[in-house]
Amino acid sequence: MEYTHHYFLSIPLNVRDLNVLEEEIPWEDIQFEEFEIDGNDYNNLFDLFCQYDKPFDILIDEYEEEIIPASGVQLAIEMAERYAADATPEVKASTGKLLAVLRRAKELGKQVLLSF
Amino acid sequence: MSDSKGKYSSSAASQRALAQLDAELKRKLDRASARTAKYHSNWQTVNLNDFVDKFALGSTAELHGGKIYFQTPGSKLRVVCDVQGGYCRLQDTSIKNPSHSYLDINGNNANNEILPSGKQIGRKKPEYNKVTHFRILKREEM
Repeated sequence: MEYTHHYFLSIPLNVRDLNVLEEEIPWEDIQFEEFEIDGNDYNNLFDLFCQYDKPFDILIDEYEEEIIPASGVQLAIEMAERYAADATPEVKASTGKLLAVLRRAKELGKQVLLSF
Repeated sequence: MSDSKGKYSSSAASQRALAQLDAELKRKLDRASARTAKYHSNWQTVNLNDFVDKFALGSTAELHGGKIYFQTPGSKLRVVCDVQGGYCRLQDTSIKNPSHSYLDINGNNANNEILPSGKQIGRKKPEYNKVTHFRILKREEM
């Protein structure tokens, strides 16, 4: 059987924190700005995601969802920039996709939901 | 009743053996162990034989890295079992974004909860994770 697995990074636009959801609105009413990467990007970014574990107290993994808090987006950007600095062109390209999402989240002052 | 638990256990054992030769796979399996250690006390339990019979009857166990899929051909429901962590999730594969796609233990959409007042609201992420992860009962617990 053919299987397709998707890797999404989503920025919730009309709620503050998906961990708390103080807005008390149905899930269907939450608006997201969504970005998709692929399995190669995920593998290229795996080491960076492991680095995110400790500062954000998360465990990024396939078939799981984790959140980079709005307060941590700047740190996530800095870590990604360091990660890309000496990386191969392929890893740089994948990191560039992640950085675009993180910078957008920073611009909006929002968290990022990683759904892999 | 199918022996999905047996299929799961044998597939998981072979993948764990492979991980001894594949450092990258081992790192991924170790993360699942960490997740289980951190959260398993919150999870409901399932008898994998019953669970697969209910949601993926007649399926075979298919290895995908650190996961084992059970999915009946033509069905949108997939039981995704973790090789190392001893847990599974039930996924509606017709939903593209994985963050919205996991179901509760009865196969219902888990994105919302209903307050005593009757109002329907989105589930907080920790609560969503709690109701969409299931610890697989060991053989002696079944």
